[in-house]
Amino acid sequence: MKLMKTLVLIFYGLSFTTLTGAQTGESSKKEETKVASRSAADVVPLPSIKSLTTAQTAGKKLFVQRCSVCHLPALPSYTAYGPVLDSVVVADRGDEAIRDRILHGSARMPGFQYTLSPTEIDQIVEYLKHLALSKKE
Amino acid sequence: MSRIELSLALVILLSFLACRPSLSAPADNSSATPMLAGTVRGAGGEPMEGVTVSAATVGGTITTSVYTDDQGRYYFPATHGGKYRVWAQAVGYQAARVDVELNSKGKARQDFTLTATRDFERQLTSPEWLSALPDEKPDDVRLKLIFVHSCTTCHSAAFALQNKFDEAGWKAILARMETINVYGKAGEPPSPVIQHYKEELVAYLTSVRGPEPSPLKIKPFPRPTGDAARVVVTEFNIPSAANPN
Repeated sequence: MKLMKTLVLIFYGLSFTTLTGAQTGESSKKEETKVASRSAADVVPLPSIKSLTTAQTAGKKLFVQRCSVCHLPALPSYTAYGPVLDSVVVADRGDEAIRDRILHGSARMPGFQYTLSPTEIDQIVEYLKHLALSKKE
Repeated sequence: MSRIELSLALVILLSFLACRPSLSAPADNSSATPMLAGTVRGAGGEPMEGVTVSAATVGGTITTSVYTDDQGRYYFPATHGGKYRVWAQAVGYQAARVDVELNSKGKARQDFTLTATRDFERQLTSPEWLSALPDEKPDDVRLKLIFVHSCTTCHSAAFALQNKFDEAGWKAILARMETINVYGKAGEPPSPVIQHYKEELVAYLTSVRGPEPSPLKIKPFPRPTGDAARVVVTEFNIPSAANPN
């Protein structure tokens, strides 16, 4: 009898820990979702690759790796070094002026003529035309 | 509680714990789970060892990678059925990509042929970039160390050296970099170290990553062989829809 009692106690004890473990997993999942949604609200979302053409996707990769460090909105308390680039800036300055700036740079920016091909520069411009950062600010 | 009772309780406890993982793990762990395997060869038909072969479900966030053995063969662990994006890559070669449909049972075979490419700078890792920097003469070693201390404490060498700029371009970058502190905060008083070495750094970077032919000796590291090629890597990709800054 004593043995049975012990076994029943162990069984209940283990079931409880299993259930608690599962619940903790769920609550931490909820916590993660909360954190994720809070972070997403703090930053400017870039268009998902799913909504981009092949050229724009290639442009996004180049832009994120080589340009974004100066040309995307900075985090709070930081300042973007260059102008924040998007479709509004491209429409305002014109495709050709943007291409020329990427190629030859300025006093504050290096020119990418020895690194990026004309096709890659076109891809970056195509991607920028798809960005709508100014409208959301 | 008697000794026998204690032993019995312990046996039940251990058997319960042994069964526990199966409560949460997917039940489908039998020999019927789909398998993916194949070979990777060079353009001349020779087997290629240590090539990374990766597979990710289409639309999924988990990528599994394995390496080919000395016969160029690769095997993935048993996985779930579905549509997979599979690619084989090695530094110095163009990556080969295919979509593979794995049904819920049976095996799929996917062979790859890799073609060598001359334009593979973007595939290089930071240690490969650093070992490519000239260091035969004492002055080369000194400048390499100045570059390492000034630039790679914040940036990876692959990031810092990814672009070729002329002298004016490197000057513009150094002018910016000397005012950024170790936390990435701009508008600080000029860094005395970068300020001191600025001219030399500009000349060095223009020489190794400038418009003229470079003294860099780019040599990809050997691919993994033997036991090192038996590793299975699982990556959990974080969707990059948000501002990377």
